[in-house]
Amino acid sequence: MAMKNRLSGNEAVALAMKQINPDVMGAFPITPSTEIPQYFATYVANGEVDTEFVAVESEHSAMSTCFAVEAAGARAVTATSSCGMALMWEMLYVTASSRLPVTMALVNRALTGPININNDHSDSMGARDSGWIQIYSETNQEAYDNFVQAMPIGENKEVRLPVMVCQDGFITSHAVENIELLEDQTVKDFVGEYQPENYLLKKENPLAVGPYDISNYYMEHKKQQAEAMKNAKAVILSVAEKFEKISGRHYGLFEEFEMEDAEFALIIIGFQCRNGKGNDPYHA
Amino acid sequence: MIRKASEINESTPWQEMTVGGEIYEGGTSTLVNTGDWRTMVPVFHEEKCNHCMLCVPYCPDSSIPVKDGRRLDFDFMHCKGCGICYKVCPCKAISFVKEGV
Repeated sequence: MAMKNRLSGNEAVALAMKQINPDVMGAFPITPSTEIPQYFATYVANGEVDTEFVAVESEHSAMSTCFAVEAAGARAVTATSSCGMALMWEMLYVTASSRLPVTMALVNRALTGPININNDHSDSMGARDSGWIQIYSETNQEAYDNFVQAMPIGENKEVRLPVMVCQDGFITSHAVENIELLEDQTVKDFVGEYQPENYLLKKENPLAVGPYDISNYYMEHKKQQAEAMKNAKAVILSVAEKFEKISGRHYGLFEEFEMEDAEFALIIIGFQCRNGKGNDPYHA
Repeated sequence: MIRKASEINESTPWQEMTVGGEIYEGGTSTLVNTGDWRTMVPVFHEEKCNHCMLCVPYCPDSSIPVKDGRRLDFDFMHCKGCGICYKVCPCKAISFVKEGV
């Protein structure tokens, strides 16, 4: 039974996190994603989730926390923007190459110079080759839906890659829109329990995560990572198919619009898709 | 299929390596030959040794094996030639020389 509501993008993602009830959130505030850990910390304080909230002193530590949590065998989420993500830089690569499926809510914002807190994609585009799966959202609804789908994608055994669910700073994160939410139990059943094969707290199986890799090994592990990213395509489609069954909303790798007889195609990411659709003379 | 660290080497292709280089067992550093980092090498003179065992805990690489209360010759696969054992030996039972000379 879908529930209608009016939420901002940040509220929608915080609510998705609440419904998922992850084991740990490690996050540091930064505009415009601040509200996500802020709302989530309220859920923690009110006892609405079982999550351990780790109030770190920097984004580097936020991602280090998430890395350690996933290595230990638990689920970790974080939220950040812009320079915050830039400060995670080292750990973005460590997390992806250690194949730990952290889930990040990224609220896209310009990287400073001159200082700007508004939206562009320079933060996530810089991390394009870091080994993270990136899912971009056009609307608040998509930000919510994508976040619910992120864990079944990233945690799939054929993938095992971290996922960032991106939405546009202020335009999506702060604007309130109508949204259709899923029941808490529906989300919990869809996302399921995290069941990694090997993890540090599995006492019968000693494990080393992220050991030193000389070139011969490193190249092979990078190849593994590239193959995992290719595997993600089929997994994304299969998760989307299951998601359609619980939500009635259809997702693919791209959303196509008026492509059947197109002479030119525009590839657009994020909220700008709305402008793209709006400027279509046949649908003005 | 999960492979043992001893079954993986520098020629192993990506399909046969563990995910992300994870190692699913303990003590695998013993498989790695770090002895070839050495330029200086300790030499054990057993006749001068009174087996006081001072060198054993001082060795940073655990490269002095002990059996039945007596130290044996060095584990040269892991000794990096730091010379600490030579410095601490009260019996001058260890000399320290350039390797390969």
